[in-house]
Amino acid sequence: MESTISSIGLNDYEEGLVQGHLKVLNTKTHRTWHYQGANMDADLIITKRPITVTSQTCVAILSGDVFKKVDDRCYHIGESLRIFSFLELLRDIEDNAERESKDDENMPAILAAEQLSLYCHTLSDRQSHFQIVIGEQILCQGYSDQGEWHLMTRFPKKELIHQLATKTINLKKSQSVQVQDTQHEGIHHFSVRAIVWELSIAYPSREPFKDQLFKIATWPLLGTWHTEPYMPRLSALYGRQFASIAEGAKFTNSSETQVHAFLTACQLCQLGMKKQPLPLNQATHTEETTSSSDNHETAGLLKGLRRKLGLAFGYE
Amino acid sequence: MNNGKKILFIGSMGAGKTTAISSISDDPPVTTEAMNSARHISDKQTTTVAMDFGRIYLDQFDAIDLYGIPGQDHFDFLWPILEKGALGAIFLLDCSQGDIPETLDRFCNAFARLRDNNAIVIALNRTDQHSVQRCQQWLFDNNLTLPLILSDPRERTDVLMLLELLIANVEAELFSAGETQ
Repeated sequence: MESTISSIGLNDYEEGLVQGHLKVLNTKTHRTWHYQGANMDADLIITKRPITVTSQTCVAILSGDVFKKVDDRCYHIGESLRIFSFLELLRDIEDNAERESKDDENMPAILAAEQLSLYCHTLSDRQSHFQIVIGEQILCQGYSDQGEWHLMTRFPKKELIHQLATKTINLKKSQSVQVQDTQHEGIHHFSVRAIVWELSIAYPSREPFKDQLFKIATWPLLGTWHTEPYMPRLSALYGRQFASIAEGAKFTNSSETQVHAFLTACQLCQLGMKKQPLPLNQATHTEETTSSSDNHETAGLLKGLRRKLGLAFGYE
Repeated sequence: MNNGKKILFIGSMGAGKTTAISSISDDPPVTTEAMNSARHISDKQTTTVAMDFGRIYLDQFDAIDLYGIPGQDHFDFLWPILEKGALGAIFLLDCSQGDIPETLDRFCNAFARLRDNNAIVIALNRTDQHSVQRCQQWLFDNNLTLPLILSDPRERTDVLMLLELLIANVEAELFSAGETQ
């Protein structure tokens, strides 16, 4: 894949430096980058002052001493235009583009999960029934049983998730549904929250809940809903206290994307999520407190117990 | 060899305490089974009249003790004694017996220290959607964020899941206190 670079306000030496760097770096980046001269439309514009550009263009400002990312579209790369800063810049832009493309792929799933969650949450009449329709085809029928919304469908779970994740769905109220039991040939029943949960986990959105702390009031139904090894720890952490996404990732050795997906799933499954703004200069827990020898001993025992029973996280 | 650390399994008659401990204990559990004279509550032939005891050996020096404690009121004098030093408790609740939120309320009040440390896991068996909803609602109304799971104590993997949740909770507490992993 090819991408373009232009510049505004750079002198001849600096333009030459950019071209020289590209000759070296084009073997170290995923894309092939071309410098196409000054004052042109491009994927990346290098400049000495902040400028206004279209939403798809990235801007790198020659200022300061070191590489610094302001946001996904704006960077400071140092006045001296050092090659390592330049490489970091190009790689970061490539990573962002890859994540955005993944986001686009996941968008139908994210929308389906949100749509389903919101629809059931706002259906006040528990006697109501609804259908999920793709085009003219009825994908499944929704009904309430003992206070929980369920879906009845001819599709097995994997196929149902795939359909929801890849197609545009419509939800509409329907007349009464003849709820057939599971013994009925080829009929499957799933709780709506289990489906919303799995969609949210399997197809995470990229836009994170930035600069916030989270807490949940209710644990997810682990073991019944789709469960990954990091989920008990995440549930325990966010069930106990307000914590950031970074803390969740650190505590579970999982990625921030996984933590974000978990929190999205908690929110869509109505698990009583609360948010707080992240305090400025938030100190880490280890800086705030000192651990006692008793805690240290307990941590050791738990690690031993995990190892003995073959539970997750026991092998670090 | 004893560091005094223990995990409690608490539940009514027939809830599966003995079975759960048997499935993970390294030693055959010490049980106090006797003929069941309360067949109207549970139809099993024998029942635990004092407590069950099992042990998981971690290494040459450390072990975790497992106590199965009957949930009937006439055993409640034992509860505060056993709660001391406990890492946490697993409430095994048979949803076919009695009023589950009421039982939860009784157990949570009796093991208040563990409740306040979130060191409790609630395991429901023989359950239905309605019981799950009622338990979740009870927890929510009482401002308690405790793990609730559908579980069959005859399945070792289910019992391991209960321990996983309990350990995760204790680890979260340690994490908050600065013990990172």
